Amino acid sequence: MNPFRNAGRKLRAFLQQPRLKQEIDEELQFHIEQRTAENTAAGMPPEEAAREARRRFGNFQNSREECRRLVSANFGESVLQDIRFGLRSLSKNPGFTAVSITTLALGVGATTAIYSVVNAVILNPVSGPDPERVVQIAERNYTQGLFKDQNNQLDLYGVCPEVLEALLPHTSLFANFAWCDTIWLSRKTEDFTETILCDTVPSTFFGLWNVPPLLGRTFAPDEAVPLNDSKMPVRDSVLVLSYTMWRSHFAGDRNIIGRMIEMSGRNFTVIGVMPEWFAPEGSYSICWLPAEPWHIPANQVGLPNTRVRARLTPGTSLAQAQAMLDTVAAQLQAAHTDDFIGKEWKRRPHGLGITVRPLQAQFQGSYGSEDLRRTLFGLLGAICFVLLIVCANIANLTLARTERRQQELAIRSSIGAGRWRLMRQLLTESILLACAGGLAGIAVSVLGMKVLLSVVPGSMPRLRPVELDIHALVYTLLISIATGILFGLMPAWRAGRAELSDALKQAGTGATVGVRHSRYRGTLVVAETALAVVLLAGAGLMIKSVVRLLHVNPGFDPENLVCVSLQLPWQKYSDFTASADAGRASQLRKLLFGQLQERIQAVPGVVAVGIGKHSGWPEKVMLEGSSQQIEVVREGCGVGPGDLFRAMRAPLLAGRLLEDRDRGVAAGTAVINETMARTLWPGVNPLGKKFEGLDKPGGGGTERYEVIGIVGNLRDSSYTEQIRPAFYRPCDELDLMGRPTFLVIRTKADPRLLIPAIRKELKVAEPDMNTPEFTIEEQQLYDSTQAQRTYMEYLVVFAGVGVLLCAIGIYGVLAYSVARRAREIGIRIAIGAQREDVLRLVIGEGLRLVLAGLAAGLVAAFWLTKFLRSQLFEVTPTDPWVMASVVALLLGVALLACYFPGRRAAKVDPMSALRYE
Amino acid sequence: MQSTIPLIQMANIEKVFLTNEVETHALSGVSLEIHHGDYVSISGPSGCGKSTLLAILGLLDSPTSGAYELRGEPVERLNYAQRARVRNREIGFIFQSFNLIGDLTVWENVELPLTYRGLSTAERRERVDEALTKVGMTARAKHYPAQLSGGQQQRVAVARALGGRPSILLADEPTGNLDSKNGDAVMALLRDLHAEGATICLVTHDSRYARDAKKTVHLFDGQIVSEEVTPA
Repeated sequence: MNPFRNAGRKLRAFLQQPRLKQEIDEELQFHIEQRTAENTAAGMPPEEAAREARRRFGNFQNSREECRRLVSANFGESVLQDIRFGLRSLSKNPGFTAVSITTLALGVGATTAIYSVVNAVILNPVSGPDPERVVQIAERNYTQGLFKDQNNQLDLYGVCPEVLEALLPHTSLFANFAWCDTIWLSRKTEDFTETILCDTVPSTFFGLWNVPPLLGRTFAPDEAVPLNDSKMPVRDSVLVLSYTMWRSHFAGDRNIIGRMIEMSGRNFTVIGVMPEWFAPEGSYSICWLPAEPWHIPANQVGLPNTRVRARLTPGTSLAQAQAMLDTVAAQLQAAHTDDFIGKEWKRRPHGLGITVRPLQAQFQGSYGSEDLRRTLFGLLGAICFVLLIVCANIANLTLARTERRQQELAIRSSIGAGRWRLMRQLLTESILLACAGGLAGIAVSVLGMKVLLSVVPGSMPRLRPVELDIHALVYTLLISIATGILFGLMPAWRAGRAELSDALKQAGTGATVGVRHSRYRGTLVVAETALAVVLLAGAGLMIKSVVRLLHVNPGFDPENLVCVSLQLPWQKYSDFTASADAGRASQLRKLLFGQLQERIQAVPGVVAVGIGKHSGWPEKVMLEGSSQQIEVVREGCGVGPGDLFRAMRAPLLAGRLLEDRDRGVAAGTAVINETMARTLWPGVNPLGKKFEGLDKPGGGGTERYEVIGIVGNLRDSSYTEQIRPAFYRPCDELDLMGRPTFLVIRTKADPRLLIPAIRKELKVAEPDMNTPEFTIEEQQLYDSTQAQRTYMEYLVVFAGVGVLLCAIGIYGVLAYSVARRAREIGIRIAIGAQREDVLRLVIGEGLRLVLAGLAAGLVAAFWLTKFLRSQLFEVTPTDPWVMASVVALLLGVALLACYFPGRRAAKVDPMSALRYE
Repeated sequence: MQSTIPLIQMANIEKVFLTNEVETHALSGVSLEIHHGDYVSISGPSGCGKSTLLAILGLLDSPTSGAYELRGEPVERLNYAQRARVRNREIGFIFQSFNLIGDLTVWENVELPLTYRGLSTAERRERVDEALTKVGMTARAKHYPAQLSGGQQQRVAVARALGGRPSILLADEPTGNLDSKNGDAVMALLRDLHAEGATICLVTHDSRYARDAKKTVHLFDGQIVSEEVTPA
């Protein structure tokens, strides 16, 4: 019979069991009654007729059993019997059951958790139907190097307003076409004005992502507002808040819908709040404003900062969309031949290029996520290793257990159990174990996901929630169950084939265990030891990296130091505001910095105040007497008592620091950092040397500088910060463009205590300043190692789990081996073996496997740890100390795992072992 | 020729097993002397204590009370390590079910007790070769036990017992797992060994084989009920 039909019949029988049984009974009863009626009709007295009918029918009970068997009416009962026996059998072996469930829970749970995160963040980040149809459109090759990602691959970001305007009439290939541009809105708080980053988007923006709001609604088609020349809405508007803004600014008020917020002189009505995980452009912008496309004023040049996202119509290919974009690009270039933007496009190697690619590529490729991608894939690799160890352990455990039950299986077989019946029993037990392990695995994965999500940085775009991935759960569970079943059923299969008498006699004969079965399990132990070596090597390298990282000298004393980023009013202090002349803005900056320095210095508890500014982009300089152009960074630094280096306690290596006489470009002096000294004047004293700056601030001309001092390198944002050659000029010379001006304030005690007083002085010095940001330097540096520390912690956990499972594996194999070899050990003792001989025998057996695993693992680790290179800091992937420590640790653990079975073996009573004969 | 000090002297040996708070007297007041060159058989019905007596004789078990001297030295209270050392040097066991180690070759099985004694490789080789020659199994030295017949396995077990040149061979039903032909062959081997001077203590059910011994001890309910000496 077709096995599927057979299974279906059995299932039906199981579901209709009471009715089937009743029908069988009625049918059999009917036959007897029929015969009784015939007998009565033939003239027999009723009692005699009934007796004769029952006699002719035969054994009623046997017939009933046979009928029930034929229609599988007892199937359900036997299944329940298997389950009952399985539960009893597992509860009688608590050690085996606990280890199996723990192993499954760790393997399944950890694997599911990491896969769920990787899948939602990187592999399939776009929600909704046909995620591959959601595309990103951007100008190609715009930046010629400035915005290349970490792999030096050109990153695609956005389009300029001219391109967006040209694209809008050509959206027929897209079911949904949306863009996103960031503006800065100002919101008054109790003391300062706060800057809020807001994305202007079309009304259709949320429809593209298929994401319903957490509260309220998203935009209606008629709610888009026009933007003025400064990209500000020309009238009041509606607003959708991110979860972050809702929580941080409105304390998660559920009655927020309909509330009015005043920002940048306009009223915005909150109409919706998006879910926590929804951050399609990262977490910088915290609200969305419905807007019409911005028309760039005639006198301005647009930057390609508008991100365009669209969903292709069904049936439209990427090639078709690209062809359309190529046409638009060609038309645009033809239309802009002589204007600024046209000339800019011409400067690019291939002119204006507009490209389209699936949005998923953005998540999987660059956009600053390369580190995260490597981290998560590294973790995925580690967890795969753990899963393999889990499988090896499950295989070992089940193999050992079912082999141990060989005689029981033979007895069952001898009293009539078929091979399928035996396999069903073992299968039931495997499934029971898998269910328990799976349930525990779900708990582990839910916990694990919460922890893992802390690795994903806020800047990473997120389009879907990270939820438990059922596919991953089922998949890993199935792998584990399949392993258990495969190795669990092998003995049952053999039991079905073997000569019963042999199997029954096996336990009672004088034969000791052969080498074949122990070889299977030994191979599994070798494999899991090798995997544990790789995991431990990875964890060891990360530990050493983090230790090295935390011992890096940042170039200054971070203790009791706070950094304050100043958000100064652009219109007042920038050289580039239409109304200001450059000299006046610089003068105002000088006055402000002097006042800030004086006021904050006077706050009780403040030891020193320094002023600084990072420009954020490189400039070209040329050494005197050379035509070679070198990229360096111009940095701003306070002069005299406001000097950055005094406040930071950074070393002056040679010469002097900036003083009041150095103000003004005409002074022609510069302090350089150590890296610039080494890079530009290797082996020569740079003091007194001259160089020429080719990008004069404010544009046009060059300026000459003489080196008057050399200071140490500063790593003020991260221990791993790459130090670039830099020269310092007085802070007031640098415009506000680029990264904000900052104060570094050295305090006597915890700087957090002085923040309110400092805020007050800042407010007095510049009432129009936006909310300043305070960063505790010590914390900032420590936090800068978070990625490495988290990675290290995960790897340590995985390696710990791996080593633990490996130890369980070694212990299991040896414990089983000792149990199986009790007789052999008894013989050895009988003929004179001492306890040490037996201990040496067992430990030697274990260590042979471990040494083989160590050798294989080291070879694998030498090859695999190179993939960790990007995460390592001042440690080579084959660091000999780490590898030696891994070997020593694993040997120690293995010795411990071998010792206990060895000790048990040494205690074998030869009389008991031999009495079985 | 018998020396004045018996090789084995047991006096009033008792062995009591405690199982589930029930006392079982396996041996009661057993006294026995075995001299160098003796061939003693112990016989009796199942459960009479033959194997227990043999285990105590072989220092696999210790008596509950009584005295046991081997070569004039008391051995009944030796610790684990001392007993193992005495077993290894003085006693050779031959078991009913051979008890060879499946993973070791014939040669390695015979060599095993010698490795515990710390003999040099050359000495071990010499003794193993000698023992295998004595039992006629040299040709099978590289075979594994599973490749041998029952009779051959038992001959290897005898060789293993002989390899250590023990003071006494303790054989516990050595023919129990063999057919009569192989059983006869093994018993003939023991007879030959005895003829060459070996001291043998044999536990057997089979009266035919018991008669090979020069002294037969009958056990019943843990007590020696009779001792027969076969005239030379």
